[in-house]
Amino acid sequence: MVRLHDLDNAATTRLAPEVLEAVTEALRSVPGNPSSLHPSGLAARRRLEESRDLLRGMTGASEIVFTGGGTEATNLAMRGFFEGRDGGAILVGAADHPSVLRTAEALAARGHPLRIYPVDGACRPDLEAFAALLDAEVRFVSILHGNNEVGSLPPLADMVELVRTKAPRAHLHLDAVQAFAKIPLDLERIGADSMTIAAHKIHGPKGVGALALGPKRRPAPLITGGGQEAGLRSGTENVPGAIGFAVAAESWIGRQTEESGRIRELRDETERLLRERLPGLEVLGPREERLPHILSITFPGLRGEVLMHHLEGEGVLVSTGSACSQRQERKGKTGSHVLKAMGLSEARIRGALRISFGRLSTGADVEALARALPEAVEALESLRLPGDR
Amino acid sequence: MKLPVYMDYNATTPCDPRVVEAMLPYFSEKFGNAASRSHAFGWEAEEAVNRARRRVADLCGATPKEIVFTSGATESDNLALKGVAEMYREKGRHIVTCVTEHKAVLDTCKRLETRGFEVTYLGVDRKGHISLDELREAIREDTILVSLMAGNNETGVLHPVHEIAAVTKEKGVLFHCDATQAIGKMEIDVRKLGIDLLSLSGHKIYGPKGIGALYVRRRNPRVRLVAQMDGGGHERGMRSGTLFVPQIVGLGEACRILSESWRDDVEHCRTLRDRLVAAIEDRLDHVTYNGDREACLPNTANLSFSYVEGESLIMGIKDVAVSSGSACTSASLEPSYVLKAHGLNDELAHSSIRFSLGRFSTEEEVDFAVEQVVKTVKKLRDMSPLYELVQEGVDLDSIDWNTH
Repeated sequence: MVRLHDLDNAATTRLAPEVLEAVTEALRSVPGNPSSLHPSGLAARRRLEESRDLLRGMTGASEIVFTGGGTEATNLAMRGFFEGRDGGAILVGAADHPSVLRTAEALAARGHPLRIYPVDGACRPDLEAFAALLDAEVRFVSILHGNNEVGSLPPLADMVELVRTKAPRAHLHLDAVQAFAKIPLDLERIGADSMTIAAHKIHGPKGVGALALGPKRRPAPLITGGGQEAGLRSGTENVPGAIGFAVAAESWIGRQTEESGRIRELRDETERLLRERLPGLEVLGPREERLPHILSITFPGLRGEVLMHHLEGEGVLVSTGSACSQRQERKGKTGSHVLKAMGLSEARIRGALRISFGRLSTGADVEALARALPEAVEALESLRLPGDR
Repeated sequence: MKLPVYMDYNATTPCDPRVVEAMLPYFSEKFGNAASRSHAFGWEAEEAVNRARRRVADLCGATPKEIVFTSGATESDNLALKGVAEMYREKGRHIVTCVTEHKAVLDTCKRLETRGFEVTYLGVDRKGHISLDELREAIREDTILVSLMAGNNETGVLHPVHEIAAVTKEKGVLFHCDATQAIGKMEIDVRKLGIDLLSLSGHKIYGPKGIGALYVRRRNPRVRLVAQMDGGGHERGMRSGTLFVPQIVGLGEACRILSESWRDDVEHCRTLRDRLVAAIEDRLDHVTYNGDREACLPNTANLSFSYVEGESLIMGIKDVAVSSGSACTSASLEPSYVLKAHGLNDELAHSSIRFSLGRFSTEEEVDFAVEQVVKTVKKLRDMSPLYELVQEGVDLDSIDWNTH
């Protein structure tokens, strides 16, 4: 079998060895239900709370609510805020993740006016437009802290200040699924009310995420029942998942400067090599304010999807857009909504590829891509008819 | 024999080693985002998910397309109730359930009441049974859903699922069945039984925690749901969020094992449970069997020990992991709402213990538990003035305590 070079870490990541070990150990030897009062339950409770404390410390949150993933955490923040509340507008970004956009639309259908702030050509929120959309009627604002397709970071401090001055009663939510662990994040210092994070983007297990909460404004639960997670999320806790999440976060954040620095270097080296070998290449997103692990490129006139399959044949895995949107694409809704929001031409959208790195990425992955991509582009270019661009 | 002896399988079950083995490859090399259809890792993950979906479907008589994966039975119950309520709210806003349902159903009904729905809570008799006549009368023109569990988590009492389904079919309302406890302990075939929605959980059937499923009927009638979470539109739009392949594989493997050998599990549990109950009843007086000895999950026995304080009893048998009331509410130390619904007074409800056995229980463990229980109950009763009075033939109910 060809050795696989996984350069699609923004979609999902492999479990880090220490995480695998922790999760396997928990599956085998932490069998109890944390709600049980006997020793088996108490042991599970202790391990769950240890993991929660670690994540609380690493996010600057007052409270950590474990969920079944990032999507659920975002749904909890948004739907939980509006439960039993009439009126109040929602402000979200045009390039936000579908979990935010679709939930905002569902809430809009229940009578909460939806406002959408635009992004610029580098996928950075348009501050002026953002400010213009803010007023006292806005009760919920979600900011995507690190775009999943192009890696752009928002001018967070400015945005937070605008929200606090112009919409003082608004709940401020951060979708930090891509940024968590990769860059310093502290809910309290940022001054937001809640933050979505997910384990499987940082070499933790899938099926576990969390909503980090600030000291005020608890949402109403999305899932009701036994009253676990301080009443905010019922259902027997996924103890091995929570343990794996905390271990994954610790191994990244404990060495954040080194780990993220190394990833940034791999990303920059990839960009340098590709630019050198592919003169027609365009890099999408901002140059500076971006996440260290994402490189978004496009070949106007080529099909990103075809390039992706070419690369796959060489054992190099990348992606055309976010994995979550490919189903919609097959349903005929073509093209990434993020790239569209950036105002890119149809040709640039179709030619886009996302290369994304993780803590397990190596120089060998970079070399494999830098070798295979020019070959793939050449093969495609030769097939292209004149005037096709 | 390892201490403490685990007799709390209704709270959660340990992962079957075969399940852990089946999951491991998907944690490491065979990872992938199951929605990433575009590349090889994604395909392999999707194949594993499809296989697991078929195994879940096979276990309950459904087709794979009728299975929606969730984070657990609580989410399944929430999705079934809220999803149906939202979808059919123009048709009607009335739901029928029962006072002994799991909190995942009851608290969700409470939530729906704040959203303009009306809920009828059927009562139960001393054995924990609803009356089918009452059910029939409770269903109104504007009723859209009946939610009744298959087997009760605290007492093991079985609702007559087949008969309930006949009533809901006749009345033209949907039937949701929480089968979290019953699946793998009796035959559950959604077609034969006539169930429209069914909740199940991984960690109650020797699978992993954090995974469950909801069966949603696709034909006669086709049940539709409004998703309770929005996002990437996974699970045919009914439930968004990245699929968790290892856990799905784990649930699939747990279901495969059950399809193969649930009858062995049942036989094993029933033998041990009957041995436990017979030995305790033989050696102690004033033991109340809560629920119905006949219509009962084969692994569960809920017993009350009169003249004994429940907490002291649990402390006294600390080498036996059991639960008083359901795990999810046991932290509250309130007397079990299920047993109170049976008509038990607070004292008896407080002195109740749920023994629930499983695949890995042994005869040795049962005998050990019996010894512990008998010894502790006798010791506590020796210190109880009430028990002394009873032994002297005094009818406690005849005493007017206020005159003292």
